[in-house]
Amino acid sequence: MGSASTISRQPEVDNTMSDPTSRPPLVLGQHDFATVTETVARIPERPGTTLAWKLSFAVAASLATMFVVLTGYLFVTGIGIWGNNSPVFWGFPIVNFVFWVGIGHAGTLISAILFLFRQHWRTSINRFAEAMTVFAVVCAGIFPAIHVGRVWYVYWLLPYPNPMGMWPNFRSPLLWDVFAVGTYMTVSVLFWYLGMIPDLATLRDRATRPLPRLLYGLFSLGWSGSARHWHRFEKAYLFLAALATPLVLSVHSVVSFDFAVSLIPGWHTTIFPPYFVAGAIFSGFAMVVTLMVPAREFFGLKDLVTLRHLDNMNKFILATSFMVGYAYLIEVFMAWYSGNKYELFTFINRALGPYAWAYWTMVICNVAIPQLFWFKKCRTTPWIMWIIAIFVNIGMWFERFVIIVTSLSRDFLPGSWALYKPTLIDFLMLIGSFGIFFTLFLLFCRYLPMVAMAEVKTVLPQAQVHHRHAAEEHAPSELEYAR
Amino acid sequence: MSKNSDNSTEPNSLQPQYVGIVARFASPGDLLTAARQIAAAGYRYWDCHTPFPIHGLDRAMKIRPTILPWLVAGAGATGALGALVLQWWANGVAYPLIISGKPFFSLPANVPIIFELTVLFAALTAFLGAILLNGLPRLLYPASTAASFARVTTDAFLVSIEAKDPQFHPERTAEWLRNLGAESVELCPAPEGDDAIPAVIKRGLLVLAVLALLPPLFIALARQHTAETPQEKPRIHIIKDMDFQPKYQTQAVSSLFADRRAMRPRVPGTVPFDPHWQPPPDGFLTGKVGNEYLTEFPIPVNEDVMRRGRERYDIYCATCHGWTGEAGQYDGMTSRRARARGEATWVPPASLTGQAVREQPVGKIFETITQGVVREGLYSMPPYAVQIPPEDRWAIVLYVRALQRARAPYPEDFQDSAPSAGTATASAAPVNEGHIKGNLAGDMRH
Amino acid sequence: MSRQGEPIADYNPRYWRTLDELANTPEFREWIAKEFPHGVDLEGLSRRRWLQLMAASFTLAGFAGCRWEKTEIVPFVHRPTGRIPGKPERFATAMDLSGEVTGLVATCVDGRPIKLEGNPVHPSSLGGTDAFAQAAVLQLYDPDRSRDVIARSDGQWVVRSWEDFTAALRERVAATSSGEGWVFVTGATSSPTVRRLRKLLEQRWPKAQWFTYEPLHDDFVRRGTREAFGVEARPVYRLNQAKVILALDADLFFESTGHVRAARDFAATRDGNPDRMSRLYAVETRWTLSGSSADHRLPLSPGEISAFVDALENCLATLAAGESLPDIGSSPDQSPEARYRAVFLKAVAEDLWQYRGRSVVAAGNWLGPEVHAAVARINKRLESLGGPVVYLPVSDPMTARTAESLHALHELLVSGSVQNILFADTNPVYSAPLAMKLNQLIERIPFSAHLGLYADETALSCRWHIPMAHFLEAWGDAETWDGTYTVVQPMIAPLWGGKSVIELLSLFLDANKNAQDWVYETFQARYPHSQAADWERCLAQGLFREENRQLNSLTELANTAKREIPGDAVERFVAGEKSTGNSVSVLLTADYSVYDGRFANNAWLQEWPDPVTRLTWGNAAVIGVETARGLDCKDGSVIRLEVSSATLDLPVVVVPGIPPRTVVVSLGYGRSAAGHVGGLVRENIPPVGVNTYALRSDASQFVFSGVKVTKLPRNQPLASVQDHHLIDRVGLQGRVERLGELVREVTLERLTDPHEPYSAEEVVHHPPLESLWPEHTYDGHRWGMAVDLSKCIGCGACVVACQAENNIPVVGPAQVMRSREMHWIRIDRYFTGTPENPRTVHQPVMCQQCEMAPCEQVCPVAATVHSHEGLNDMVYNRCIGTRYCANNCPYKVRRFNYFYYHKDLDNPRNEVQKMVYNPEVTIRSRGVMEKCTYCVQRIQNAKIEAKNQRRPLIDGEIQTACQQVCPAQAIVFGDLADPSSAVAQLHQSNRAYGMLAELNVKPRTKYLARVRNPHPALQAIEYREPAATHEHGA
Repeated sequence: MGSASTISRQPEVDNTMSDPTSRPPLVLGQHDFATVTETVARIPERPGTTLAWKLSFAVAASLATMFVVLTGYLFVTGIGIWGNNSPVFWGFPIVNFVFWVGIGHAGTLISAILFLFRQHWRTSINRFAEAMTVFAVVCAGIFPAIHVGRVWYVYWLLPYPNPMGMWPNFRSPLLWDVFAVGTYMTVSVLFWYLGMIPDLATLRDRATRPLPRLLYGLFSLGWSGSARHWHRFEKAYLFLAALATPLVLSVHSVVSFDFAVSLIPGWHTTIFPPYFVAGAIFSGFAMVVTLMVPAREFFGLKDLVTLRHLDNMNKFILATSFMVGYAYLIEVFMAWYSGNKYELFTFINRALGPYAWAYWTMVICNVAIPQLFWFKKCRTTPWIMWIIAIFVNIGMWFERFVIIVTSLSRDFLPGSWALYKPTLIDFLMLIGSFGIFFTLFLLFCRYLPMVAMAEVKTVLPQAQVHHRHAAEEHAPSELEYAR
Repeated sequence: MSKNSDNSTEPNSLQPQYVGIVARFASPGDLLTAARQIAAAGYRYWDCHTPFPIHGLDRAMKIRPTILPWLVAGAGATGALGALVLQWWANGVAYPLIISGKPFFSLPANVPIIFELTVLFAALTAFLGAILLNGLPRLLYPASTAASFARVTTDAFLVSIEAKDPQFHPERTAEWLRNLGAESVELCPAPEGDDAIPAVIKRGLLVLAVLALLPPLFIALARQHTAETPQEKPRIHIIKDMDFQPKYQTQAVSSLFADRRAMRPRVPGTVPFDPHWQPPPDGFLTGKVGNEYLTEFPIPVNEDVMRRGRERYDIYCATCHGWTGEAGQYDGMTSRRARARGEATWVPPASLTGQAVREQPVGKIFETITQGVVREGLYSMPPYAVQIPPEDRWAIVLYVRALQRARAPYPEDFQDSAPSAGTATASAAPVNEGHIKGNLAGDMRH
Repeated sequence: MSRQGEPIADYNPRYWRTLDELANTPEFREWIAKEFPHGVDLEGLSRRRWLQLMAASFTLAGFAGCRWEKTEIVPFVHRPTGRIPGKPERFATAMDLSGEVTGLVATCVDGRPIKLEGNPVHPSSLGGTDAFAQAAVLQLYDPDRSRDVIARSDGQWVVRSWEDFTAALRERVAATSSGEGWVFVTGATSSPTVRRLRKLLEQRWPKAQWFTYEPLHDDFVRRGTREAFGVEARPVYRLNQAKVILALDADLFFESTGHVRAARDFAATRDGNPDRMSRLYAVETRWTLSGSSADHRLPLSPGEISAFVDALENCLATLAAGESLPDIGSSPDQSPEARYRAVFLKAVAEDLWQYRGRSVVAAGNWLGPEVHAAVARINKRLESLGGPVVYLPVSDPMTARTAESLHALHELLVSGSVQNILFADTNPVYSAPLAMKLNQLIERIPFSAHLGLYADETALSCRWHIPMAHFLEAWGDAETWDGTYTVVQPMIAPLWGGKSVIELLSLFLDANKNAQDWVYETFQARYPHSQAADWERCLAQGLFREENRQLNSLTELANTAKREIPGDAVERFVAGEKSTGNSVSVLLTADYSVYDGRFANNAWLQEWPDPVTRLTWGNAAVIGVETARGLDCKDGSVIRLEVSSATLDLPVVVVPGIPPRTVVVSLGYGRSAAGHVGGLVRENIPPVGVNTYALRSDASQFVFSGVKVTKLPRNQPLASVQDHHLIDRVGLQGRVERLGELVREVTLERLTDPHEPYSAEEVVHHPPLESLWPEHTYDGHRWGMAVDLSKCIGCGACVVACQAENNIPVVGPAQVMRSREMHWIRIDRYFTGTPENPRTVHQPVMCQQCEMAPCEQVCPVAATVHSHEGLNDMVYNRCIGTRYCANNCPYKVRRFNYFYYHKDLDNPRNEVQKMVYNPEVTIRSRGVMEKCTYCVQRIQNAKIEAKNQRRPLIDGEIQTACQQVCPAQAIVFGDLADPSSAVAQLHQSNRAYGMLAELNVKPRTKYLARVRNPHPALQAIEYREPAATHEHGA
C-alpha cells in the first residue's frame, strides 16, 4: 500500500488522441480488478490523514462555522444586516442560491445524461460529480431558507393541513422552487447512494478495523454482488438516470421561472429556461474541473481520471460557453427587437450603467476566457484548465448578480431607483457557503470511494466476456446496461 | 479450506451442516459459460456473485425480469395525479383566493409541481424497490462463510449452490463444478447462530428508538396547556411577532396614569365636533323645563320613531318590564327569574301601563329612564343615560305611551278597530294621527 | 418618597438600576396595594417617578419570559356618558403656528387624540392641513417633552413642583407694583385671550416690557407696507379669484398667510377649465412649492429679484399709460439668457396688465422692504387690492412675526435693568445671532423662567423651566387672518401637568380663574350678545360664524408711496448682474420639515422628505448645476461658507434651477437641546443638520451676499429618498425617455383644442389589453382612486398623514441612506427641461391596487391576495417575507421591515409614545411586508357605520388619510361601481390615465394628466423636448 506522495508523482499520460481504428483505453496503466479496487479503496482506508487535508479541512470547517454563527446573528437581528434595500429586495442570498444550484447540475448531467448516452468515460468521474451535486444543492438549499424575513415560518411553504386552513399559493414560482429543489436534492442523494452501495460493500469487505467495518457494513446494506441483485440494481439505476435527466433540466428551468414569470425588465424573458440550464451545466463542469484537477493529483487517481476525461469536460465547457454567449446576445437583440423601451434600457444600463463592471466581468469570464479551450494545450494542461475553470466560476456568479441586481435597481419608475450595496456580512456568508461546500467535499474525499469502482471495472478490457478476442467486438460493452 | 475438504469426504448424513457450496471462476467469461450449464442442469437454489454486473449473466441464469418497471410507472402516475389533485383542491376548492385576478384553478401554473412530484415518487420507488425486492438489508448468504466470498466485491466471480437444492450433493456437485472450470470449490458450513444481528447494532437501534421518542414527548408536554385542564402558567410563546402590539387597545392597561387606564376621560367642557350643531329643544336632555316636566314630546313623532322606540324598549327595558310593560306575570325574564329564586333584595319593576305611570307626564318618564330609580339609597332601576342617547330615550317613552294606550285605549279607538287588535293598532292609531297627547289622563277627561 | 429636592445631573430622565430594585421600593408596593381615584395627581409623588413605577410594573408583567403574556383589561367603573369604548370621537380644535391658524378636527380613540384633520367648516383649511398639523400628535406624545417643573440652583437642576414655582413667582410679583424690571418674551400668537391677558397685565404693570419674537419674521413685509400704505399690514391672497399670479420667491403654499387655504384656492383654478385656469409665474432663488407648481419659473439670484420688480413696475407704468411695451426680447446680440429674461418680463407684464383686477403679485418674506412696497404699488396699479389681494392692517403687536424686537431685547438685557424675565413658547437663545450671547445675558438675571414643551436651549439658560401644555392639552383660542374666532379645545388632560401660556399669565392677574374661564370670558367680551348655546355651537363647530363681516382691506396707498425708479431698470434687469468672482450669496429659508427648528424633535417630520431636494434628516447647501460645476461639487461633498460672523460646513445638494453663485440653506437644524431625535448634546446625541442661524447677525437675517465658499476635501452622505446616487448619463437618458409616459402633461391649449380631443390614455400606444382567462368580476364595491397631478402642489402633507394613520415606523437616517424608508405614499419629484431652468413635476405614488396585481401571484404563501371589493390586501400575519412581491411590483410601493423598527418602545421612557398609534392598524413586526391599503380600516368603519344606520354608503363618506389631508384636494377616493361617484367621474375624464397600464395590471388608481398653462411667447422658447442633460446634468 504505497503512500499518497509516491502516487502523486505519477506522470501525465496523454490518451486524448483519437485513433479511429481502436477505441483508446479509458483506464491507463496495467490495471486489473484488484488494482482498481486497491487504487480507490486505499484512500479511505489510509489510517491517518495528510497534512494538506488537515489544513484545508481546518480552513473549510472554520468558514462553515462562521456561516452558522452569522446565520444565528441573522435570525436574531433581521435580514437588514444584508445590503438588500428597496427596490433591490433580493441581493446576495438569491444570487448565491442560483449560483449553487447551477453548480449542482454538472454532477447529475455527467452521471445521468452521459449514462443514458453510454459515455463510458463518465465512470471515473461520475461519483465525484454526483457528490459535488449533493453538496452544492445543500449550499443552494440553505439560502432561500434563511433569506426570508420570518425564517421561523419557512415551513409555511409546504402544503400541509393546518388549523388556519391555509394552503400555499401554487401559482408562485418560489413554491415551484421548493418542490423542484427538494426533489432534485432527494433524487441526487438516492442516485449517488445507490451507485455507491457496491463500493461501500467493497470497503466493508476490505475493512480491518471494527468501526469502519460496522459503518460501511450498515450503509452497504449487506450487498453481496448477487447476480439477481445486480439485475434489479441495474434497472433501478437506469430509472434513476432516466428520471434525473429531465429533472436536472427542469430544476434550473424552474429556478429561471423565478425571474421569467415576473414582469421586471430583464427578467421577463422566455429565453431564460434554456439559458439558465446551459449556464448551469457550464458552471457545473467548471466546478468539477476545479475540484477534480487537484483531487486526482493528491489522491493519485490519474490512471482512472485521465487527461481524456478532463479534455472531454473542457470541450463541454467550451460548448456551453457558446450557448451562454449566444443567450447574452439574443437577450440584447430581443430587447432591441421588442421595441419595449424599459427592456432596452435595462440592457443598455447593464452594459453602460453603474453595474457595467459586473456585466463585463461576466462577459469576459464566461465568453472570452473559455475560448482558450480551442487550444488542445489548454484543454490538456491541468493548471491552465484549472485557472480557466476558476474564471468561469467567477463569471457565472456575476451572471446571476447582473441578472438580479441590475434589473431590480432600475426598473420602471425612476423615482424608486436605488443602487444596491452589499454589506460585509453579505460577503462573509458567500465565503461561508464555500466553507460548507468544501467541508462536505473534503469529508467525502476522505471517507468515501471517490471513484465508482464497480463501474470502472466494467470498462476494463478484462471485464469483457470474451476479452481475449476483444478486437473482433465493436464497442464490446455497448449494451452494458441495456436492460 | 482443508477443513472443508475433509468434511466433504463425509457421508450424506453430515450434509445438513453444509448450507451450500461455492465455486470460484477465473473470469467473467468462465462464469458465464458455467452459469449457462448450471441453469441447464436445472439447479433451482443457486446464484452468482460478481464484483460488477456482467453483461448477459441474467439471461444465462434465466432470471425472470423484475417487476420494478411497473412499480416505478405506477408511482410516477400516483405522483402526477396526487400533485394535480392537491393543487386543484387546495387553491381551487378548499380555500379559493382571488390572486392576480386569475382563475382559481388553472392547469399551466400546476405543471411544474406535477412534474416534480412525478419524478420524486418514481425515483423513491425505484430506489426502495431495488433495495426491498433484493431483500436488503441482509446479513447472511449461503456463501457468506466461504473464504473466497470476502473477495466477491473486489475481483472474485463466484457461483453458490445452496444445500437445500434437491440436486445438491457435496462431492458430486463440487466435482461437477470443478469440471465446469472452477478455479476452486469450497463447501460452506452453517454459520454459528444464523441471522444473528451484532450486539452493537442492536444497542445502536435501541438508543435511536429511545431518542426518537423524545421529541414527541416534549411536544406533548408543551401542548398540554391546550388540554382542558387549566394551567398555572400561560402557554410557551417564544417568537412574539405581532401578537403583542405596542399600541393601546381598548381597555388596555397603561403604566402612565395613576388609574392605570389607557382610556382617558373626556376633558370637562369639551363638545364633540358637529358642523350642523343645533341647540336641543327645551327639556330634551332633562325632560324638564325649569321645574316643570315636559308634557309634549320634544321630538317629531312618527312611525319611524315609534319603531325605533319599540326596538330600543325590547333591548333595554323588556328584560325587566316585559314585552308589554305590565307588572306581575308578564314581567321580563330577569324579574321572573329573580322572583322564582326568591331574591330578597329584588324590587319588582313598576307596571308601566298602570295608573301611576300612565298619569306621569312624558318628561317624568324620560327623567326616570335617564336617572334611574333610587330606593333606600340603592338603585332599584339603574340610570340609562350612559347607554341610551337622549333621542332614543324619547323614542322609548313614545313606545311606552303606546303600550299604555294599548292597555287603556281612547273611546274612539274602538270605533273601527276590533279590541282584539291589541297593541298593534293601538300603537299604530296615534301614529297615523301623527301626534300623541303627552298626558293621557288629561285627554280621558273629555 | 418624593424625588423633589433631589438633584439630577444636568436634567436627564433617570431610571432604576434593576427592575427588582425598583419593584421592591416601598412606593411600588404601596402602589400595588393602593387604589387611586383616577385623574388625581399623586400626592407628593413626581409624575416621572410614577412613570418609572408603572414602567417597572409593566415590564415585570412582561417578565413572564417566553410565554404568552397575561394581559389585563381595565374598564371604566362609571362609563362617561356617550362614550363607547373603542369608538372614535371627534372634536374641533385649532393649531396656531406663530400666528398662523389652522382649524382642526381631532380624532380621539378612548380619549386619546391620535389623528388631526382639517376642520371642513373652517375657512382656514376647509378640511385640509399641512404636514405640521399632521405631526402635532407625535409632538404631543413625544417622550422628550419636559415632564417636571425644574429649577437651577448653583448649577444643578432640581425637580420642583408647580406650587414651588408659583410661590417663588408670588414673591417676585409682590416686590413690584409697576412691573419695573419685568420682561415678557413670547412667540407670535393670534390668541385673543393671550392678547387680552397681555393688555390687562400692561394696564396693571405699565413698566413691564413685552417682546414678541419669531426667527422667521415678516418684518420686511410690514416695513414695506408701512412705506406703501402708511400702516403695517399683512398681505393675503385669495387665489381662487386670480387669473395671473406672480410669485416673487413667495411660498404661497407654505409660508404666506393662509397657506392651506391658498393651496385649495389655487388648485381649484388648475383643473383645465379655461375660464378658471390660472397662470402662475414664479421668479425665485430657491425652490418653493409655488415654483414647482408654476407654469413658468425664472431663477434669479437674490439681488436680481428687486431689479426684476423695478423693471416690472416700469413696464406696467408704460402699459398703464396706454402704450405697448418696446420689443426688448429680440435683438440678435442678446445672449439666450438675456433674451429669455426679456421675453419673460414682457410676458409677465402684459399678462398681469391684461387681467388686472384678477392678477396677484406676491413677494417672499425675506425680500427687502422696498420690494414689498413696490409689490404693494403694483397690486394697487393692477386694481387687485380688496379683490384677489388683501392687505390687512396688523393691529396687535403679538400677532406680528417680528425679530426686530430681539434687538431691543438685547439692548435691554445688556443694560442690566432686567430683574425678571419670562419666556413663553419661544426659544431665542437657539435662533438669536450668536454675537448677542443671549444665554450669558439671561443667566445673569436674578429671576428667569421658561415655559416650553421642551427643556430647550433657552430653558437651560433660565433658572426655572415649566413644562408647557401642548395645544391639544389646554384650552385656548385663536383668530385667523380674516378674523374668524376659533376655539382650541383640549383633547386630553395635560400628560405631564403642563401649563398653557394663558395659565401662566393668569398667575399675574387672577390665579383662581382657569384657562377655560379666561377663554369663555374673551368670547363673551367679543360677542356680548351671544347666548350659552352660541358658545356650545362654537365648541361644536370649532369657530364662531359671524354673518356679513367685512374685511377691512387697505385699498389706498399713502402719498409717501411715491418712489423714483431708474428709467433703465428694464435694460439693467435684462443685462443681468455681473459675476462676482468666487463669492456667492446665501439665502436662509424656513425648513419644510422643522419650520424654524421647533419641530426638530419630531421624527415624522425629520424623515419627511423635502418636496424638491427629497432630503430627510438634516439640511444641506442647495446649489445649482453651474455653481456645482464651478466648485467641482457633487451631492454629498462638503463646502465651507464664511461670513464675517461665522463659518459653516455643509454638505451639498445639487439641484437644477437654483441660480448661479447662490447657495440656499434651510434654518432650524443643529439643535443642541431638541431631544433624542433632533439632537441632545448633553446626552451625546449629535444634532441633526447644521445650525444656520449662526450666520445671522443684526445686520442681515436671510440674505448674505459676498460669502466666501470653499470646497472641503471630504464627503458627507445625505439621507435622500430619491436619487440615492448621482444619476449617471444612462440613467438620465432612460428617465427622460419614460418621463412623458409616467407623468403625462398637457397644455391648456392642447386640452381645449376643439378639433382634436385630447386623451391622456393615448399617450402610450400598446396592443389591446386582453387576458388569457375570463377575468374576475366584482359585484360589490369597487374601490378606486384618482390623483390629479394638475392640482398636486407636492407639499407632501399626505406622506405624514399616512404615517400617522397607518402606524408607519420611522427608520432613521442610516436606513434612509440604505433606501429603506417605509412611507406608504411617496411623492416622486422629476425635473424636465434644461438644468438651468427646469420644470418640476410631483407625482404621489401609493399602491395602485392593481386588479391583476403582479405581487399576488408570486407570493408562495398567499400572503397578499385580492379582497372581493378589489383591494389588494396584505396579510401581515401570513407573510414570511420572501420579498418577491416587492420585486414584482412595477411601482415599487411595497415596504419591507428589514428590522424591528419599534425597538425604542421597549425603553420604558418611551411608553408615552404608544399613545400615538392608531388602534385600528396592526403594528408590523420585523420581516413583514407592508404597503398602502387604501386605509382599509376607514373603509370598514364606514361600512359598519352605514350598516348600523341601515343606509347605503354615501360617496365621499370614506376618505383615505392622504385624501382627507390634501389641501389641494388632488386625491379622490370612492366606489367605481357607482358611476355617479366622484372617482368614477374622474376615471372617465379625458385627462385620466393608468400609470404603466400597458403592463395590463389594471391599476385601480388613475392619474389625471397635469395641465400646464404656458404663455405662448415663453412656450416657444421653453417647451423644447427636454434635453438628456437636464438635472444633475453633464
